[in-house]
Amino acid sequence: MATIAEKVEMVFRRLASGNFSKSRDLEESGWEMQLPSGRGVARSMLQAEARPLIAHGREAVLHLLPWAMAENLALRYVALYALEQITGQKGDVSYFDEEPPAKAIEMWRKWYEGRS
Amino acid sequence: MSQMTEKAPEQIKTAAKPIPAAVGNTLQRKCACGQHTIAGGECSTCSQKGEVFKRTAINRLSQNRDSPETSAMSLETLRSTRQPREPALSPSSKRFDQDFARIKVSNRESHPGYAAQTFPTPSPINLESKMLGMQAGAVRHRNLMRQKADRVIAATEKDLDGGGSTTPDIGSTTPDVGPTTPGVGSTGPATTPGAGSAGPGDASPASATKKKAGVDSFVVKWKKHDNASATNARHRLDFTAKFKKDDLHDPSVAEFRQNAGNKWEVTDGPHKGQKKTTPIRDDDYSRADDTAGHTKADVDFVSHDNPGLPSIDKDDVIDYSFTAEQMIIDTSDGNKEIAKKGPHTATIKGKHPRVYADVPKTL
Repeated sequence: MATIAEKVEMVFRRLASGNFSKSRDLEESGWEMQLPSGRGVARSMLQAEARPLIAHGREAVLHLLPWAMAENLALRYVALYALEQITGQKGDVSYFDEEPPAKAIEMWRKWYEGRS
Repeated sequence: MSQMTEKAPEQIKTAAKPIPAAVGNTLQRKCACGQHTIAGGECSTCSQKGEVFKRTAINRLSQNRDSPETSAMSLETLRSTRQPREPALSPSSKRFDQDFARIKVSNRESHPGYAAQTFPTPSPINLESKMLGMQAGAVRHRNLMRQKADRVIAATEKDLDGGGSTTPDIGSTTPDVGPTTPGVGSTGPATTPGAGSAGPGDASPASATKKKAGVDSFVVKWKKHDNASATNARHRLDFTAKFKKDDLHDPSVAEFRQNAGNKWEVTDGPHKGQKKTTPIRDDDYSRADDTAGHTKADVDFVSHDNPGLPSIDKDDVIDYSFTAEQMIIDTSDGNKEIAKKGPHTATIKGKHPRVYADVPKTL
């Protein structure tokens, strides 16, 4: 049985290769970003991809933090959105800012450690 | 475009917190009631008191469990209001027949349309071991606090004796709970440190005036999506705003929000029968969605939305309706709405070539 770390890694590997967890919904919304494969993806799709990560709860936080620094903004958004939903804390982030949100990452790390 | 392989970033290592080793043969500590105990354990009296604290907290939770307020509250709020000596509750904890899995957690929790999270119910087999583990965790937590307090006392005494050492930082073992995240209609406890706080005020210490949010311009443009086609039925909304920045105004306290909902159905064609209705709710847009990468300190805000059905068949007959309104709110003034556009509704109907009604529109 895959560990949470492996499950988190699998989600991001799949997205990085341009594949989604299920066939594309008829309905989409939000802004668009590009995955590393070059495939465009709407915000609603990225949020849908983040839901299995959110379901893991606190246990996934530590494994999401590195992906919150991903170079690809679409992959980074999946991690950021999942961290926001799990922790209930929205850091002062800008999803389209090239700079990784160091302060927000530290905030989430402290949240995780506070619940150890 | 070239295939890019995203390398997995390095794992962030969390520093382990060292616990000082016992000095001498046996570490003796005083229990909270003053009795000496061995190796940092609790006397039976204090152990029972700890159980009373836990039962009190859980009884309080169970009394409020079925109230709308509790169902709308995040689990984090419930945790942050419990007794400080309580061990951290796992979302899947089940103690004393209280099932926390029934407590829903959501970000913009006050609205029925928000995505809600529920946590799986744990196996009964692990229940007892979890209870024992949490009790042990509570003891360890108390001991750790005592040890840290002892270090502070020792360092302070050394200072008073002229040692000149710096008092070590105890640090905090309870998670910081920031102010409530601002949101239209939101009553929830999601925290946004910084962004949610009541106005950063002027950096100048001489000024006591709390700065507010102000809007120089705010425009929302609706149109048929540039990439709309036989298989791609979408609108395009573009948001642009410019915030005031002067002695009275601080752009970082201005926040963007969109309430949106839609209703669609495929009445004929290969996808016939597919339909969905999403009630109007907070669409979770914020200044973080600035597509130009502006920060909250910037005066400009730019973003967009592309609602629609991008993967239909050319022969699908659709009836699609999208409604949205956009707001600028002042987080320094109780999320007061200071600018608003809409609500406006645009539709896409029929078979290709479809009819895009109520666009273009500039609000």
